[in-house]
Formats: sequence, C-alpha cells, structure tokens
Amino acid sequence: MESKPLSKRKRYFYLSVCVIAFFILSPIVAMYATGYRFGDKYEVMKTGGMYIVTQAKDFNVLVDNVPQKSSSIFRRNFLVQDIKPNTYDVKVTKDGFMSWTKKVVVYPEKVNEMYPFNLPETIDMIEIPKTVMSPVFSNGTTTLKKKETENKEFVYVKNLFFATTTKDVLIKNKISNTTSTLDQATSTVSRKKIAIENIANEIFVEWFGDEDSIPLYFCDLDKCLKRMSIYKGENINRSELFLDRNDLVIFSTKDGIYVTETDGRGGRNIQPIVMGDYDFRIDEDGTLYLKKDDKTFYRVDLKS
Amino acid sequence: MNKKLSPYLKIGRATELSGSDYVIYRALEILPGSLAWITLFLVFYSSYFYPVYTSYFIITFSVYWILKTIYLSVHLRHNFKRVKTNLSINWKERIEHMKYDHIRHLVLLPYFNESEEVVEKSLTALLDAHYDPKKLFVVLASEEKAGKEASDIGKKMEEKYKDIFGAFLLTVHPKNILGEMPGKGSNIAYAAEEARLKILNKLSIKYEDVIVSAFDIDSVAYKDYFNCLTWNFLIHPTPLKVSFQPVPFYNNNIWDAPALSRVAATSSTFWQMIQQERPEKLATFSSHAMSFKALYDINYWQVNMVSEDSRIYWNLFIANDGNYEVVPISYPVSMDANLDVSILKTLVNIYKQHRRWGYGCENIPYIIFNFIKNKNIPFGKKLSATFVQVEGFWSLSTNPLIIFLLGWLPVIIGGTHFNTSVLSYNLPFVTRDLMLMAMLGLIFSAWITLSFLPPRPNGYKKHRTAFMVLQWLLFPINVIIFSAIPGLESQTRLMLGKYMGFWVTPKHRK
Repeated sequence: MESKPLSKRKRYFYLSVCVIAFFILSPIVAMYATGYRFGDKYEVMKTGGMYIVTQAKDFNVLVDNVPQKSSSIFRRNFLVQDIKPNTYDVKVTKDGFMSWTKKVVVYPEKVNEMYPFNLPETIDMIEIPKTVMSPVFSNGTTTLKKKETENKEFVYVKNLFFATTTKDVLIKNKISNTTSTLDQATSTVSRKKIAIENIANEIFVEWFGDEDSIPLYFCDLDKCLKRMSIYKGENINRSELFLDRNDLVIFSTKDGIYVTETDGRGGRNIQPIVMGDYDFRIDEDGTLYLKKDDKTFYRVDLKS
Repeated sequence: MNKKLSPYLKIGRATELSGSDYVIYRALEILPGSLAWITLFLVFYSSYFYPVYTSYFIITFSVYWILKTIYLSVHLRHNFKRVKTNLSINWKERIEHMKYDHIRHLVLLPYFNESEEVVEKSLTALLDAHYDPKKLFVVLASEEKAGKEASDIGKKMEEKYKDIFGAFLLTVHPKNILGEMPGKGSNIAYAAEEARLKILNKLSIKYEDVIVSAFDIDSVAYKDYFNCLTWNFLIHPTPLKVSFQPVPFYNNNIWDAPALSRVAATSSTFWQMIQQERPEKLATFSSHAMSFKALYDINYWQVNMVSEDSRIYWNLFIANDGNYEVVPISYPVSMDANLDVSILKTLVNIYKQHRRWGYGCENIPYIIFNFIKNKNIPFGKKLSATFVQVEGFWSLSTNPLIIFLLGWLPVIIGGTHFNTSVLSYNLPFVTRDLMLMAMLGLIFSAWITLSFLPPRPNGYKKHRTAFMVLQWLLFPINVIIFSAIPGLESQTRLMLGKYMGFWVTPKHRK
C-alpha cells in the first residue's frame, strides 16, 4: 500500500538518471542541430545544407540530377540538409518554363540559400490596341451602335514610355554618373536599399544598407561585396529590379529583354523574356509593358 | 500566545520597516522581478549579439525542460497512485484503533459575497463526511464589508446548522481595521481568535487537541478527509510542528467550467500532487490544516498581505527556527474551478487568480529577510528554502516564455550571418520536436484527469468527456497566458512597489 511519499532514495535515483541523461543528450542534440551526422563509416562529420525557395507550385528540385521534392501550394521552400560539404549541381524545372541551374557549394555547418527563377518558355504578350470600340446609344432609339474611341490603357502605357518626367531625368542622371553616389539613388533604380546602375554597358548592383543586414546573394560564405557587376554586354538600354524580386534584374539590349540574377554564386542564370529590339517599363502596380518600333505596346503576363 | 515572537515575523512589505531594514527588504522585493526581467532581457540581448551561444542555450534548456517534465511526471504518477490508494482506504476504521476522542476539528469557512448555494454546499459536505459532526467546530467567517446580503446568508446558515455541529460560530470581520489588508488572511485570523474565545475556551478544549482546517468557502471535504487528517495528526511524532496539506481538486463545477479554466485548475492540482511527493519543497497552499496550538502561538495568519495560505507556513517555519514542515496527506478536498457568467469573465478571473497566486513571490523577501534576522535556523535549511522559492518563481515567469515563445528569437534577430548556419535552420525544428516529446506527457495528464473526474451529470452528452481529454491541447496557451504572464506581472508589481491587494475569486455555479 503506497501511503508514503516517494522515498528519497528513489527520487535521487530518478534525479541521477535525469542528470546523466541531460549531460549525454545535451551535446548530442546540440551537435545534431549544428549539422553533425554519422558518415558512411560511422565517423562523425560536419554536414551542410541548401535552402531552395521556388517561385510557385509544381517546380521540381534536383540535386546532382537526383529529384528531391516538388513544390506545392503549401510548400515552396525546401531545406535539403545532411549533405556532405561539396559542390552540387542544382536544377529547378517545370514543364513550360525555362530551367534554372547552379553549381552550389555546400560548406560545413552552413546552409546555402537559393532563390531560383524560371520564366515561361513562351511569354504571353498581349498587344494593347490604340483604339477600342465603345457602345453608343443613339438619341431617341434603342439601337446599339459602336464607335471607335481612344484606348485609355494605350494612352497610359504610351505615357509610361514617352513622358519626360522627373523620374526619367533622375534615371538619366543616375546612369550618366560614373561613380556610385548612393545619396542620389533614385526611387526608380533603387528599392529596399538596393541600387541598379548601368554604366557603360555594364550593370552594377549595390547594397547601401548596413552590413549586418546585407542580403545573402551579395555574399559567398562570409565574404560579402556591397557592389558588384552582374552583367556586361553591348547596347544595354535599360535595367531595373524585376517586378517584386530584389535579387533579379531585368534589362534590355538591341537583341532582346532578359532577366538575370544578382546572386553570382555558381554562375548567373540569364533568361530571355522576348528576343528583338524592345524597350520595357514596369509600372507601379508591377505590370510589365513592352514597346516595339515606338508604336506598338504589349502587356506581358508572366504569371506561372 | 505563549511565545515571544520576532518583531519581523509579521512583516507584510518593506514600507513597514525603516532604515537599513527597509533598504534590505525593499531590495529583496525587487529581487524576483528583476531576476525574471534580466533573464528575458538576456535572452533578447544574447540572441542578437551571440545567436550561436543562445541557440545552444535554448537547445540545452529544452533538453533540461523535457527531462524535468519526465522527472516531475514520475512524482505525479506516484502521487496519483497514492491519492487513489488513500481514497480507497477506510480511514475511519484506521483511527478506530487509536485514541482520538479528544481531537476536535475547527473548520474555518471564510466567505465574502458567495451565493447561499456555494456556502451551503460546503456545510453539507461537512455533514456528509464520515466523521462525527459533534467533533467539528464550524466557523462561518463573514466580512462586514460584504454587506447585508452576505450577513443574511450567514445568519440563515447559523440558524440551520447551529445544533448539528459540535459548535457553530458566525463571525463578522470588522471592516477598516488599521494595519489590516482586507482579505482571507485578516478574516480567518479574526475568526480563529473568536473561535478560541467563544468555543475552545468556553468548552475548555486544549489547543493541542484542535486541528484547524483553513478552507475556502467552496472547499468541499471528501468523505474521509477528517479521518485521514486525524490519522496523520495522531501518528506524527511532532504534530504541533507540522501543517497538513491535502490535494486541491477543482471538481465542484468541473463539468460546467470552460476548457481553459479546467486546464488551469487541473494544472494547479497536478503541481500540488507533484509537490506532495517532494515535501521538503512544499508550502501550504489554499485549503490546509495545522494544530490550533501552533497557530495560536504565532497569533494566527498575517493580516497585512495577500498570500496568507503559504505565508502561514513560513511564519511557523521561522517562529519554530526551521523546525516546522508540511506533511502531504495525499487526500483531496474539492473546490471550484473558475467559472463566471461568461467565458470572457471566466478567463479574466483565471488570470487574476493566477496573478494572486503568483504574488506568492512576496514570500521571497519575507523569507530571506527573516533568515538574515534569525540565527537559529540551520544554514542548510535557509539555503535550500531560498533556492526552492527563488527558482520556483523565476521558473514560473520565465521558463514557459523561453521555451514556447523565445526559442525562435536567434533566428529572428540573430542576423544574416547566423541565418545561413545549419544551427539556425535546425533550431526551430529541434526545439519544436523536444517540446512535442514533452507534450506527450499530456496524454498521461489527460488520463489522470479522467480518473479523478466526478461522474458526468445527467443531461451532459458523452462528447463532454472527450473534451476533458482534448482540453490538454490548450496547455501551451494556458502555461503562457495563465501562468507565466500573470506570474511576471505580479513579480513586476512587487519589484516596482505597486503592492497588490487581495482579490476574491468570484464563485459561480450553473
């Protein structure tokens, strides 16, 4: 009959077991969390990982051609861990989209973050007509007639391309400036403390926030560059951050409009939006417009 | 009173002292709150500046937490079996073999504005107990401040029960007594003295033969409570040097109380059950008992502070130079879980009740100050008691916050460099998994809850029983909102000298 409290002897026993367990488990759990794992020969080794953020659902992630997981509505981010420090070929694919590939170096106890982008292979370009047919009701009758009227969207887009605004002037000033003067960074070419500059057909990105919060795509392991060249070519007309992504830059040349990434680790991916002599604008709502031959305008649907 | 008491025995707060005594006591009042806030500040500070070391600390702390949970679960399991056993014992038969005719029980039932139903249920429970009611002296202790309605209930009960018990006394604690804080402590201290004069002295009962049960008005004694208490009193070699602690169940209205209230109440029960297996860490809590002699020798409960239930133990411990302890009797008394007219009011009441319980940290300055003044208490006892109290209140207000909320802090504010480490990625998952493992213990909690539940009342559907199990999913919310935060608030109030008054938990029955 148990009518006495737990004996001190038993309590000391349980306490001792817990104390011993604590001293055994704590370093094991801490080492596990740090990335220590058993190797093939049961040796303890340090591992690393990679963190891949896909842009939408149904993208496949392959590491050294080994399929990992596919993204879904609920899960766009993958942590691939417990991998030996080495260089891996990472590929993100989806039918109908361009592939994104990169050589990713995995360091011990570190996780390499990657933000792949995959543009559609065929871009849906919707031409914006100059005029539209609007219904008009004649006086005294119920007969429906149509009248050709000016398309408001056309006017809006045309203004985007041709209006000489303060913004345009500032962009030009910025582009013509050969040295980085961050205080003059304009709202158009800079966003979230990132500035894009096009100097003599070379595109630079620059971080002008504090060093502690510099985005990882400016860094390789512990080395970070606050300013770096991301593309050098011919006849670069215009460059901007791409839509809502701060790690992607859209630029136009005589050959076409392209998107490239700031992250230069393991090679930069460059994917074309459209080939040919086009100009582009992105409005404040984040819609991409293209211009061909000074008179034809397109709205681009990049939704995947 | 036949004992010369220390002038510091009944200190309520620093403002009652002067000179260096004031400075020391005030510093000790600041201690619990400052420890808690320094801990939380350090977690933020180190998460920002030393995220790697902080992550290791959090992982180690999580391992400590899960092992502590296992360790305490062993105690809970043992006490669960002990309470079960004690409930099955025929205690009356046990004391029949002893000489116990001289023992009388003085039952103090303080009330304020509780309903007639609540008051009467406690009285009828005394009658239902397997104990001769003529050996029970019942004191219904009302407050003048509560007004006529409360007074009328008292008079009605007196009229109804005065001839049934060995003695029945209705006391009215006067309001606005200088130096008193309105509350349970001042009410039952007054009631005990009235009982001494009007019952014990009148009937020439020896104080050594009287066991006082200081109940709340909703306390319902289980059938064999008085037999069990008497047995424990009689077999103890020094019954005047101990208090007796039953296990507080909150079963009176458990089927009507909302889930969060049930979890909060049952968690308190579990904590008391665990403490029953660690008597050296146990102080009296809520309904408790002791000899009238011991109580009389120190002039009853303190009248100038909130936590009279635990303070009376420390009063006795210090007055007896450390030669005083709590005997866990592992036999239940039942009380009300928090319940008010609406869920919101109930939740507010739970918070306020736990804040009042958390204000038990006012014992820390009291204990340490009296330990400094009293040179007769062995140093080991002083050290042990101080550590248990300080660690207990520190854990109450900080550990759940560190475990359930701040575990992610290094990931959030640790900076870019730290965020590229495997450690940063694993920290949330490792702590989550450890916590989930610790939460598996809740299955055991659910099982214990079911086994001590009173029968489901007629008209209550079966799914209510399922909810008694599922309610434990609310435990993390409960431990933060109704334990850590009110604990932190009460410690902060004490730290800032914003002293709390006694708050009467409303008792509502459906």
